Amino acid sequence: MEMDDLSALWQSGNATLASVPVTFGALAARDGTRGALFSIAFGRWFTLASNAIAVLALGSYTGDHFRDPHVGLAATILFAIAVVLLVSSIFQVRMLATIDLSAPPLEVQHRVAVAERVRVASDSVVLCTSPILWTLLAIVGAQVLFGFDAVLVFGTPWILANLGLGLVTLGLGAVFLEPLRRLVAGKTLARVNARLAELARFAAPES
Amino acid sequence: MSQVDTPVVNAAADDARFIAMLEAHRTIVLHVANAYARSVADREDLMQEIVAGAWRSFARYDPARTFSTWLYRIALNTAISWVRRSSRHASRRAADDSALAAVAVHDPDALAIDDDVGDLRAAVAALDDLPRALIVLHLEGTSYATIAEILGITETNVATKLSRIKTHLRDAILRAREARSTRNGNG
Repeated sequence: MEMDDLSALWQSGNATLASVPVTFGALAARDGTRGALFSIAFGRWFTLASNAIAVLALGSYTGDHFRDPHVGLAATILFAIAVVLLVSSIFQVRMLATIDLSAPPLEVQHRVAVAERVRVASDSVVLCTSPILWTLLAIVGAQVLFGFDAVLVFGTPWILANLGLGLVTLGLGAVFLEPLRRLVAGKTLARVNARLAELARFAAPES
Repeated sequence: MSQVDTPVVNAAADDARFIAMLEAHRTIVLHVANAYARSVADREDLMQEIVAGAWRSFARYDPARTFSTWLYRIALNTAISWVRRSSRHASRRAADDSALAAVAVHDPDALAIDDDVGDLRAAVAALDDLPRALIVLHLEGTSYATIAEILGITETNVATKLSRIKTHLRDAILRAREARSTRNGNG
């Protein structure tokens, strides 16, 4: 079977499509159609907004309590992490927002995959450090909500118990929830890296 | 005509121009959607996304460039993103990406097509998204130079990849024929 035969087969299949009615005016006029990248971009915008709020709130709190023992340190660390996550989400949104659908598919798919890799890496870092973040949030939360220094009041055993609770929660999530398992095990990152490798292979000249 | 009316008239003229250009290139939208969709309903949804994407990008369309190349890129980018989005949802349900490839075939009852055409469509549908774009463009009669321009790869690369894909498709069709004749023989 030669290429001409394949083309003839393809064209004969296309002939059956000639009768498919298409009214472009009606399709273009339909409301509610979202862009091809809408679902991806929407999630990134939501994350960016959440991170911006976290940076503002933690920045304000850190500025006020910078010199407080324990709480000031916990808030500063949380603030620094929030800034890193905000920068990461700005990068992702920018990557997706500047995509031009009339660019070559290889270029567009590469941008989508890079933005996805940054998102997965950010999510994985947050998840894997969640036992520590949980404890820091508890320290800041105790001060904000109840007005006391949790480290001073409860001591080291309380910190260790919170770290343990964070680890147990993370472990249970990784066992019972597939998306968490994929993130913690790095399967999602591996999938994105495989996609990038696939795109590179497609772009590379074959011998 | 008042100053206020002018933008409205221009917008209406743009609408009409866009629809007319799409109508003139209807096969691009229809054939790309058909190559990436797995059912008639999918094809309708995908065509709508392609048209919407083209409409959003139309303000940036440079008339000095070929409309078909511009539309092919939008159609393929939309189709590839659509397929990958569907794949993610499917893999969440099935937790196995290979299962998706196995079902990535056209609905044989949707169109009255013969076995060989169905086998070719199924073999094309089982390809990864970018090789699929390449072979679809070629089977649609697009030149190597234009395929290279649309996809963003070199012309030499187009030729080499097409040769490999052709071998793959030919083998897949022959295997499907053999399987069918074995089934018929047993039946």
